[in-house]
Amino acid sequence: MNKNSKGNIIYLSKIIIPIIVVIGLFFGGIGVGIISFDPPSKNVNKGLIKISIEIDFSDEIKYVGDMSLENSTGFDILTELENQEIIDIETTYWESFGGNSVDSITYQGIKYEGDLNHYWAFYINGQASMEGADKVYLNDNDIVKWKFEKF
Amino acid sequence: MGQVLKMIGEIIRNKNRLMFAFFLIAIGSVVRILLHNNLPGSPAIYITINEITQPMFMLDLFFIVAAISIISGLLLGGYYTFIVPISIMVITDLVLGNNWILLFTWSGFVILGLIGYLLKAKNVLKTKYVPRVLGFGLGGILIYDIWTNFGTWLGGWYTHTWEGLVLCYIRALPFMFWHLLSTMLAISLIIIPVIYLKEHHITIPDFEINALEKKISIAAPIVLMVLAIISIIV
Repeated sequence: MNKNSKGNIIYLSKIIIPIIVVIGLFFGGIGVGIISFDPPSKNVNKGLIKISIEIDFSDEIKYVGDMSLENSTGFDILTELENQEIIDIETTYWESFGGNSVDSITYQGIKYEGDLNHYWAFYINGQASMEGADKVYLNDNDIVKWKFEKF
Repeated sequence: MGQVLKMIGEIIRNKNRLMFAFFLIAIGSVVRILLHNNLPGSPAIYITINEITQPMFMLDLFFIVAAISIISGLLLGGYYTFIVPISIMVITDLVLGNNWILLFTWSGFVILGLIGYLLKAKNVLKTKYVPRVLGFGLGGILIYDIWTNFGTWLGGWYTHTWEGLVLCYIRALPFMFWHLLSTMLAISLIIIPVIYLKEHHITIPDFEINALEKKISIAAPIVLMVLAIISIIV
């Protein structure tokens, strides 16, 4: 093998080997079940689930209720309450996060809007959620709380 | 002040370089704005890590600005390593909107511009250096994602605990996979014809960059990164 062809093989291997490794990892992922083609089920418990809801508007005004629904996230609770004309919500979709933030909730004619000092916090079963409400899928008997909090 | 005037003077004097920068800024801005609401949904491939199942790819337009940032560093170098990416982001963010994360994303793209500039300094526009360009590009994308998602975590999108940080990076994986796939393809599609032209004696202009310009280009991403951290903490 002359020096030139050896150099060509080394050159091509620098491109081909990483591509083979990536393809190998992809098919390996499919093999062990890390990668799949079936969409994930939103809920651990399939079918109708019952959720307790509290929206705390901070100045001793609260909405408390419950709801039965299927296949929903913490964010879906707000849109469902809006459909029932109990509240109005304003949200922003952030492309960079792939998720929604809650800008304001209007209840009994008063608008509770996030600003430099206030924001809408999402709690699930008494714990501040570690991620956006539209990423948290609900299960039977979950307690969902939205609270208008100060920074 | 004198240095700023000197910088502006140099930019205006070198018209070819300026025109090419305008071209890159225009392409990046127009494409990002036009395609912003026309992205297809995530393909039906799902990945499960740490009991979290999510789409493997979340599509966004990172690759357009990222590829242009690297190319601006690689072909133009100097001041343009930060002028081109920041101009595209300012123009498009004015139209599309952004939030507190903007200094992280802007500085991330300037880091990519600087990586392109480091490659320019090594004179890599040759066929034998294609793997090196792709390798640096890959490293730059990883740095961008690690940096901007650190900003997401620091900005309070996730709880300020180790678990919150891990969750933040797991949730960022679909974006990272897409960034790697789309940007590596974009860089390849741009860099291979450029090298072909250069090796077939079609002149690709090479610009001289003085020592001061070099220092400012390296300082720019560092200053932006510090400002990004300060903007979150203050």
